[in-house]
Amino acid sequence: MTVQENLLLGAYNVTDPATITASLERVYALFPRIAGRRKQMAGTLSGGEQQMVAIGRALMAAPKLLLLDEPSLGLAPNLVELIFETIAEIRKLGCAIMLVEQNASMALEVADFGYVLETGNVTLAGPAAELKARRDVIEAYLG
Amino acid sequence: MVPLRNWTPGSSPGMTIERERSEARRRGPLMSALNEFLQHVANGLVLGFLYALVGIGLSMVYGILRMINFAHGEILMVGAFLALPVSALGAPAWLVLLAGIAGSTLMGLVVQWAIYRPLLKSPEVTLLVASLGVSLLLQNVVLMLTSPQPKRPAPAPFLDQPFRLGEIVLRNVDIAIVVVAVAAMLATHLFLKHTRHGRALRALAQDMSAARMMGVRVPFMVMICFLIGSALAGVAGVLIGYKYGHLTPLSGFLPGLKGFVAAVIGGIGSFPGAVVGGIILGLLETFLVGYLPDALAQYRDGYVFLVLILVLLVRPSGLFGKPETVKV
Amino acid sequence: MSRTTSATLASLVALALAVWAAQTQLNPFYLQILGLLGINIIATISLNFAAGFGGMFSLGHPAFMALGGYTAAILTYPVAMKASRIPGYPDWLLQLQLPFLPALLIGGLAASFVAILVGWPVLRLRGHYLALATLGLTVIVQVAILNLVDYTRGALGLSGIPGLTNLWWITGFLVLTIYVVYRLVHSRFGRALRAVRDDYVAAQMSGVHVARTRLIGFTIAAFFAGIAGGLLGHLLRILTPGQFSFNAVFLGVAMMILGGVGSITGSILGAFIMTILPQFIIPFERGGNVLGVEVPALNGLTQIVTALILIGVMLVKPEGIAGAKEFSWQVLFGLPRAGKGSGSVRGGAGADV
Repeated sequence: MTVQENLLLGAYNVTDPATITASLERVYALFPRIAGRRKQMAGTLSGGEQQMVAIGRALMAAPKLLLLDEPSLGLAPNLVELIFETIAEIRKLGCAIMLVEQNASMALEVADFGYVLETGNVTLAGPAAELKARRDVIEAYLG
Repeated sequence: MVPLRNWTPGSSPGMTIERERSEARRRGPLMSALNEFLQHVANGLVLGFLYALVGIGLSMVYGILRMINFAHGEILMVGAFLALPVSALGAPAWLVLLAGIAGSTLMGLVVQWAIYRPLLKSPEVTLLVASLGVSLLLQNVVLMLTSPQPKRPAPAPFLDQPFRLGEIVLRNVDIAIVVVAVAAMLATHLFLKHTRHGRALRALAQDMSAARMMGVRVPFMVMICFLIGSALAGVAGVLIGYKYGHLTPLSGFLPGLKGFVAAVIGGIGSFPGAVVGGIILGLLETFLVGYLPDALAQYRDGYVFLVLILVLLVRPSGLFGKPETVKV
Repeated sequence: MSRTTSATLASLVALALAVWAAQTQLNPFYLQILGLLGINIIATISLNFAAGFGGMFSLGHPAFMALGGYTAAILTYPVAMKASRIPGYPDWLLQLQLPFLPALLIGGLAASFVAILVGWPVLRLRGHYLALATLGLTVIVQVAILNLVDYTRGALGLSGIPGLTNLWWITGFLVLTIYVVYRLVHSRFGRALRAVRDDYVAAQMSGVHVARTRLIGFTIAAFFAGIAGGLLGHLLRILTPGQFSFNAVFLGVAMMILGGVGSITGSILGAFIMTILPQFIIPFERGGNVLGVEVPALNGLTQIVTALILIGVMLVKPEGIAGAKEFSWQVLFGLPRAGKGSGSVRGGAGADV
């Protein structure tokens, strides 16, 4: 399916065409790189661009809460930066985000609150700023 | 095994070889080789569109459920049988067609709801066997309720008129088949490409879990899928009834299997694949029957299965399909 | 000798007595039904060997039965009738008339030969593709039989086959089949076969030659199916292409599924039910006066029942009556289980995925 079709799929449960068009524009504004590829088959995009499509697709549903599971996994470092910038942008749009990430340092840059999970148990929790300050401890945990 | 009823292949719908040959002879020795070739092409295309109609439904169901609906041909047959009384009442052909579509769609939905839906999570063999059972059940329920004698739809004189295209002779019914089939396939294509449910259906076939995360409800989509497939089968059923002039409870079986072969040739799970595969199969079958000597041409149904086996061996993913990888 | 062996021997003696009693007491109609029962059990076991233990869901066993049946029949056919009825064969064959046992075995071998030919390319397909390819084989064989009239008498059927078989022969082959299949399943080969069924990649990595194992299993199954076909031809004294049609496929699958895929005991149960049950339904199918009640001819009732059983089993208990369990003396008498081999035989409702 093309990029556009993927995005439209994200709006599956939205019935108002105006809302859909607005969401589409918002996503393309957020990810200019895929705006130019909207008729391209999504499978032919690069890893980073595919990730953008995936996130954009999730946003099409105008969610109250966005769940992101390791969005930066497997991406080149410059794309990782881009993804986190985008997450910050989404946060500014007022959408709540639950981000699961191994990349603790970058995640804490964009987050308000953080939980550290160790073999399924929450070992640390607190405002991101505090956790960042305890970075030395976290670096011990996460190396 | 000691089965109690005989089925003979070759009782499949199809002009007998003799009739085809005698028609060619009637047109006189002036009919050049080129005309014969073009005639075969025309006949093959008509047959191909019929196979395509059947194959699309099978392909779509496989795309989502990963199951081969053995009973697809029987749904075709039920649609045609339910259209028969409408035809007997003297209704115009298009109304009969609608009745057939309604009948087959209803049957498809019932079968899906009652039998396939509870088995959605079962291993593929279970679904296969269940669909075998449904096929057998439908054939024999119809047999029990009607009789083994072939039924004839009320003749539609318009459809029987010959239609000449240069030296090629068809009947109006053949043109009707092409027109209706193309219209139906076009409608399906538009649905799949430009509506949100169509998109959801395609997404479901590609990646079920991702589609579900988008809020696509699988049971509803499966129902839509069966609806479309069964409706197209009903179209094929009525068209077959008009083209060959007789219907028996076994009339759906071979079209169903050949539709499956068409879907496999094109790549099972692929809508354009089923269309292309159907046309290829129709042309192939017509050419084989047309050019082989009589003695060999009788095996027409056998050839179709040989083609199936060959395709499965050489390129099981078909023309448009993706080769399936086995996860270790 | 151990208790299980003596129990087995005792039951064999009992079986022989039962056959003798049947042979002398029952009228031909019931005898024929028992004969059919035996043949169906053999056929179901052969199917189960390939599908249940081997994971190769083949719908082609009617083709192998047809091949075995027609081959055996042609070989035992009286020379006098051969020339007029099936003139297509070369002279040396037309002059040939073999006794029952060699003809039967050659029939089985003919089926095996075709199985090797067909299996070698086809067995690499998975799941329902294999099912469809083998279904195609059934169609192709049936079409061939129909059209090669000079060799098979086509749709008219090959009648007048000498009635060289009886309940003794059938029972004998039945016991042989059960014994051979049982020993095979519990052998090294059987373990390899089941490993290929369950996880062919893991099996391959353990050194099992997947393609060859499957082919051998498939061929053995075809052999017994061919034997069953030969027995059938000589029991009914007629063979027609219609006997090896899709209905045969459905019936075979129903017998196997009902009893339990991957269980010899299940095959016996399934074949038993599906052979005896239709006998009660046929009177209703023909219509007329049944038990004092006027019944219209309900065509296709047996098939409907078969279909309902197929669907019902899938919906309710897909593993069949016996599941994957086998009958064992130990279970029956509460004896302690022997150490090796008791747990690992279990089959599964699996075609390879």
